[in-house]
Amino acid sequence: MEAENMESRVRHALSEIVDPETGLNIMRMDLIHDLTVTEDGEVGLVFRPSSPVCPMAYSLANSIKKKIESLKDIRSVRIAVENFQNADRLERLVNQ
Amino acid sequence: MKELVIISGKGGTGKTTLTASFAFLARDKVLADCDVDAADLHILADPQTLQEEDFRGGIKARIDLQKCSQCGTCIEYCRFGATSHEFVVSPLSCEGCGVCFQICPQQAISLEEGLNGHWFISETRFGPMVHAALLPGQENSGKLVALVRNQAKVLARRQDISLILVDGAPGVGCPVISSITGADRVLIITEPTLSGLHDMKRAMELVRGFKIPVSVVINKHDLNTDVTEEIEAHSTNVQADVLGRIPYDPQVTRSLVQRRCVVEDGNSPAKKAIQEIWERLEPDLLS
Repeated sequence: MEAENMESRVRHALSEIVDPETGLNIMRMDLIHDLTVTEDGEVGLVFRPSSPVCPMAYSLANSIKKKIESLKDIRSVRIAVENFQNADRLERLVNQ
Repeated sequence: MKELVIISGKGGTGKTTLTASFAFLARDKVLADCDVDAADLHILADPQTLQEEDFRGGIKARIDLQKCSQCGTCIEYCRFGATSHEFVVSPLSCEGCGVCFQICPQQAISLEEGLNGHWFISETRFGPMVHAALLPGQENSGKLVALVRNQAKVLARRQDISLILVDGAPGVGCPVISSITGADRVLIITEPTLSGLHDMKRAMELVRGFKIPVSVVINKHDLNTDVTEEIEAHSTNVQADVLGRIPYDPQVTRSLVQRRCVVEDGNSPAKKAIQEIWERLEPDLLS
């Protein structure tokens, strides 16, 4: 499958994840940056929670990982975390 | 990107007046009116709405009169008196507890997400602004504040604007907490009254709990020099810098009546004071 098509599917899937606080999906909230999808199904992205102390960051990161992994032809998901006080810890947890 | 939040503790000390003045003085900025319970920055900013959306949250009961047998069980069990004898649920009284939904023998009651308010993206004479209006009696104001701040950041990022000016809510409750979490700097504007001092202390304690740098501005400082000194002494004790004092100046009200900020008109004492405060703040916000 073409990378462009896969990227579009990933974006669509991510737009189904809603932040329970704002009621908006995470793409509208601009929480996902630098999304890359290769033809081999390797996904990389930067997750930027809405604040450095966002209480939903762990839950949202988990939802992002699971949502992308559930898509057909996806082989791996790598999430970098920025703008979060426990970014290293969250990054380690979500990528293990 | 830097985010400056202006709060007060006590209501009516000049948050919106100061925010609007900063909005006039700052070069590039996005405005966010997070006083969603009583938003009024738009009165000075004169917005042209570009986008309007509903804000939904909370649950309200609704009775399907086609299914309802009018047995009255829901009226008997509702501790909020939300159901009328015509079997209509008042959205203002319903707390969404779900008791009626559970006990209705006809299963005629559903729980539906209620409309809590509206939010807007607008262009104003000061630049882009995100603002909102909570409907009377509705809840979830903290969530609406989180939404407004988030969309202000999205707007700033898209337009490559490095400063967000946030007009916060009074008090120390949920909407204020939602206004300040993760902000770069908080400015507390207070007045030299006992309630101004008392509420400033509470707001300051809240901000310090979040480890956010906090500064103080004393509005109408010359109305009570003793309390002004107390405010300054307390601020010094808790390592909050006093950025400036604004004198009582009738020109502030004259400008507001014209839906303008005092910094837009003449060369009054309040204008000079606010300009000096902004000059002290600006370098930190641009760095």
